[in-house]
Amino acid sequence: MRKVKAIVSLILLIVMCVPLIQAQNPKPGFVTISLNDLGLFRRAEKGWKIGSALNGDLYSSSVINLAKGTGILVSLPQESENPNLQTMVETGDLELDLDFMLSKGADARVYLQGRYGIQLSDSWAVPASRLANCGGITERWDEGRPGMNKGYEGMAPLMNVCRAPGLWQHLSIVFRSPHINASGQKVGNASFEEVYLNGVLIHSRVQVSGPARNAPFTDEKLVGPLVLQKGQGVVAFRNISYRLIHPLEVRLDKIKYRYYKGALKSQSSSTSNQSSNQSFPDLSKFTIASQDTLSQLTWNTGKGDELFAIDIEAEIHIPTQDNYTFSLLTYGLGRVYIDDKMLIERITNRWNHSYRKEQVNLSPGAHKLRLVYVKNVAEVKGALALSIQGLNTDKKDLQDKSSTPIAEFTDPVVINPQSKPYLLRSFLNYGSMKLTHAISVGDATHTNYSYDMKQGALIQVWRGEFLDVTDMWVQRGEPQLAMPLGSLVSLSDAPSLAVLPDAGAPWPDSIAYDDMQIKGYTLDSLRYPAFNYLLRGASVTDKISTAELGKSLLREVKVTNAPAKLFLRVTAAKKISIVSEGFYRIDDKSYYIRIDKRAKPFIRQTSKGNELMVPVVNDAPISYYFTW
Amino acid sequence: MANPAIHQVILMITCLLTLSSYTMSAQPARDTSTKIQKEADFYPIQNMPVPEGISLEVGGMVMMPNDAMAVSTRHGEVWIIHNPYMKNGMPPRYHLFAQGMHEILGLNYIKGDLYLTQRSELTRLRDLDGDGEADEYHTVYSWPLAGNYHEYAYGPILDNEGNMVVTLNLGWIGFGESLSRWHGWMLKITPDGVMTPFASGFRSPAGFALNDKGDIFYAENQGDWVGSGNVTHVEKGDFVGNPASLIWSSLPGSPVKLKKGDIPDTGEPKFEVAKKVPGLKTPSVWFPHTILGISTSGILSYGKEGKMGPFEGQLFVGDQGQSKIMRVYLEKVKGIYQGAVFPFREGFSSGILRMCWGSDGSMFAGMTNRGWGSTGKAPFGVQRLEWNGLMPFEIQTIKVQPDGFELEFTKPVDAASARNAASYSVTSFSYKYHHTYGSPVINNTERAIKAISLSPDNRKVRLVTDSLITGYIHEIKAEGVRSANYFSLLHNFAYYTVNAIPDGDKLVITAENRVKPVSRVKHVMEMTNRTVPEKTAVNKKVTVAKHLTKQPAEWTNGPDQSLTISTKPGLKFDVEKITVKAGTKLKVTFFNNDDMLHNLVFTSPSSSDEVGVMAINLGLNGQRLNYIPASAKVLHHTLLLQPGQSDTIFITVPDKPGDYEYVCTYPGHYLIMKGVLNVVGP
Repeated sequence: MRKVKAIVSLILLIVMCVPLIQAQNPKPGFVTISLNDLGLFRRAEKGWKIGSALNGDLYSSSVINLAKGTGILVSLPQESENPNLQTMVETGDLELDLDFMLSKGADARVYLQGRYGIQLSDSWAVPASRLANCGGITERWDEGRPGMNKGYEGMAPLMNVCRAPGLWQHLSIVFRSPHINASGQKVGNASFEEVYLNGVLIHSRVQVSGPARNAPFTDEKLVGPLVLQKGQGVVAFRNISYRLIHPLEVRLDKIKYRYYKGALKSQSSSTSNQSSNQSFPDLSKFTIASQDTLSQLTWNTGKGDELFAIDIEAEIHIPTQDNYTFSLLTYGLGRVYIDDKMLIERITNRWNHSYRKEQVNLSPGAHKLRLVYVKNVAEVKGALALSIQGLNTDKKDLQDKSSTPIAEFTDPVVINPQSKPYLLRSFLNYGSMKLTHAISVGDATHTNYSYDMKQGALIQVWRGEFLDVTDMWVQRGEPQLAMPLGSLVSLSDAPSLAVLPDAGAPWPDSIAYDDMQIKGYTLDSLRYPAFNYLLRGASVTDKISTAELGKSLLREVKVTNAPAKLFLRVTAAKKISIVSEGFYRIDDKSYYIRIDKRAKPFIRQTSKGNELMVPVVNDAPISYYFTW
Repeated sequence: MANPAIHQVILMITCLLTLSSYTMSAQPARDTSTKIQKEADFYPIQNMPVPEGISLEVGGMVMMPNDAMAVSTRHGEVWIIHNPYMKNGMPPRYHLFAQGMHEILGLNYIKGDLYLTQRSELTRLRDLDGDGEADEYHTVYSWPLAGNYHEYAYGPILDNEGNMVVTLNLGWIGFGESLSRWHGWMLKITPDGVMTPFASGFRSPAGFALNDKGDIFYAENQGDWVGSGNVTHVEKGDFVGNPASLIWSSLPGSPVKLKKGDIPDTGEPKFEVAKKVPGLKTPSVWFPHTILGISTSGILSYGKEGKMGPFEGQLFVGDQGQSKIMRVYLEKVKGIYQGAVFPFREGFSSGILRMCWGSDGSMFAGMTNRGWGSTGKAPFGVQRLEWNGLMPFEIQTIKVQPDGFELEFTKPVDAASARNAASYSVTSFSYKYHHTYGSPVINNTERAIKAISLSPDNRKVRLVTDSLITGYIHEIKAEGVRSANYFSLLHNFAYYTVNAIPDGDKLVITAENRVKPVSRVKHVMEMTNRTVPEKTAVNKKVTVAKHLTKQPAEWTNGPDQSLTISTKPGLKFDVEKITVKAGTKLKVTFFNNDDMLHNLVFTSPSSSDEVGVMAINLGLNGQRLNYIPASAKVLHHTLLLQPGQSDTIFITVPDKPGDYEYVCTYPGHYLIMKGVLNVVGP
């Protein structure tokens, strides 16, 4: 279970930390393939064009409306004979990041090393698992195989999390090239170590035995170009960047330690969970209990895992000049010094599974590594893990196995609605907050959302699997948290309705608990809920159901006894673009809003961006589609 | 006496001799061998099957029209179960009525609607379109939450005015805390959703009900500020003991005026503190921890709907950890409720949370043990308890008298055994009232029995004791009493909490009823009373050697190995197997990171169960002795640790290889909370 949890947290982490669709500065070690022109591509085919923005309606058509400028690469379907666009650069092991956009019904492929393909296809809201779904690994093809088995080794994504056409999507791949020895013999398959689509892991450690169908190359090599291949419709790319991964040849020697025993500072008798101000003990004030040399880096010198401190010194041999990231995990306090300068200090109360990372530029040759570990907590096992990674290298663990914490696993409990929608009340994480009056709704089309009943807010939507409830239903379920499993779009947790005294008044962040009375919800014949609440005397019905076979959510809000100057804020974003009348695209979060113009929607400018607003008329229902 | 086992054997022989010589002289011609009754002879338990795939972790349970039963679960579902009685040899049928609520720990059927509590609200369910599934989940009243798992909510029950009564649990952050408004309170809510705070001071009020007079009683679990489980009469404005809730007493509508700072943390008995703190309510009946429950749960009043033998008007109280049901007789003395708690029926399959009456007077017990464990090992279930109409020989009631107690039996007693003072013992004791989790038994003293009188119909025995102590619990044992046809009691002890002593006539002590002090009587008393001084002394001596908290001087090189053991939720040690070489000098730290009391006891191979049972049998003295029985099978042990505490001990591992065991002997834990110390050859 911890694994699942780790994956889920990773998903959340990625969803939250990486604004998926935003133009972004490349991450450390990443190189961007410039889209100022087609100069970095080997065959500047006619069928591709550079621009600055796609303003057309790719939601329902393939008509390109490309603004002049740079940054976006678009395929031109009509003018193409060779569908492939090939980079000049040839790479081996790498991490690849890119954004892509498809027109309605479009398909395309990304071939790593020009050989191993990932499908980009408009599989928006397809409930079935299919090879052809967006993110699928392109099958191999052998005419010599009998009957229907000519295609093989294709792999459907673990979940279909494809977005609607015309919206930017994000693909991220960790790829290992085939292993070929010095005499040119292949000794190991290429593999997709990890593939993430829109923040969701869709492949993990999938090996491919050779070039995929329609790949421009049929042999296998250590390096090859990135090939973008267009098919039906329009495909656009932006923010293409990659990080090369080389093996890191680093080693430790001359490892020696000083071991200090006893209660250097114990937290264990405290019954409170509040963190107290901890400080790093000055080891020079303690007596050394023992000292010796070590063959491996470990805290575990066989003296038990009571309260102690260990001060380890070693020489670390660095192969090349680079920015190296050291990551430290300790159950207790930890410090890393490089060449006598402190690089990382890790002070946590009790234990915490997150690594502390710091970067340092190191020259080739021997450097002094010093590691101080103070195990000041009695209630956990000792754990000390230190890894190093160069900008373009593997991550390498420096510690011995005896020093590493052992992850524990619990059997996961997952809810996936079958025929009828499933509604689940739970606690729910929203950013750093824990919502207590939340409800999540999912259905068989894998269209899911969460609603904060305390604010009347649609706080998030996601495609893919529904909820992991292990943290609610195993043992006491202490966090009582339901974890969304798919590709999450986080929305605002502010109330949807508010009275604005004037057009410029800021939208409120929240409604005080006593100003709103939750009245529960009523289910329609398909089991979709209409949430009911009273807001300072106004009676609100807020119905949210899956519509258009899972492609959209339909939200219908009706207010009785509505006060004057009451507004519904449909959404807030950095930028809201108008596709056509009543049809809005929210680029930074990648979704559409469609609203009847008779509702008189308008966009207002705020210091944070745009807000899409609708004036509320007493007893007049407002409805809009949320499409993504 | 050096060997406690031998000591006990001698006492037992003394006891048997005493009894047989007595009865032989009284009625020489009769068959005087004692006949034993078993609970199952009178109260059979029937299991209700649960279809594969349904986690029927019962949080609430109520009977519906047409002999159907509704069950709410911790997964947030409401099931309608048809034919739970399995009439006509047909299995029950399950129908999912509602789904997706947040841990429903209370369910009721009021005026044609199902009402329930989930974590954040009181909810009414309705099936508007008649398709058999709820489609209106109406929030009657909602309260804030901090997001702590321990913020449970329970109810509703209906009071006499038609209000719904709910209770809100304290959160747990290493101690009980009221993290959001009205947690630790009992609230009353009208059908229109208007809430009035009713009483404060609750910790974990999972069970509450009206008795046959319409008064509200709630069951509390041992914890911080709660020395032991109990049942308390709750009236408007009461503060029942845990001060965490008092941070809300200044809010509008609060009928409670006490503030947190008004509550002293002295460890004096609660009854004594209550004399100085008006508004502090003390329990009607204390349940001695581990003897009668470790986690009291549902309360069921025995009114007209029930058919459970001769205990009408009493309360049945469930226990989750010990998978059993206890019985409470209440009486009002000087306007204050008090009474006695008795064992009733044990051996249910999982942890009992709820009980309700079936239409035939049988009792359904709804169960779940997830996260806390229980004596019954099944994770969840429903069982039905019936009375087969045979009359058990039981103490039916105990009523306090100006000078002692009157025990009423369900059947005529054997006069000779009932008149023999050696048949009884009475011990009074109390608990500390303090912020610490639980309490040892304190101030326990034996009450001498001065006189015994038997009613003409041989159904009532009056015991005159040297004195009664108000506020104290009185352990009353009647081990020697036999029925007219020489059955021993089905349950031969009870615990009476004396809150008030009635006025009235004391028994006139005559030559006939006076108890003559006889030395052998005292011996028998010692056998049944577990506070024998010599035994304690032995225990202490053993304890020192087995609980070494300082490194032995001869360990000049320190321990060969050190390790830390802590806990995992669900009554587990985080380390379940340790492999060490024979003779290893081992330093062991036990850190209790759970939210209940635990110890760590190393035992001989295959002895942890036996040691666990011995620990339970320490009875009232268990906690004081850290639940460490004086047995050669106990090799080493830590103290009984509060949540958050740790204890380090120094152990020399035995020289003989084998699978030694370690176990938490806190009652109810030993069956699952254990591990193996695998000692291998050097």
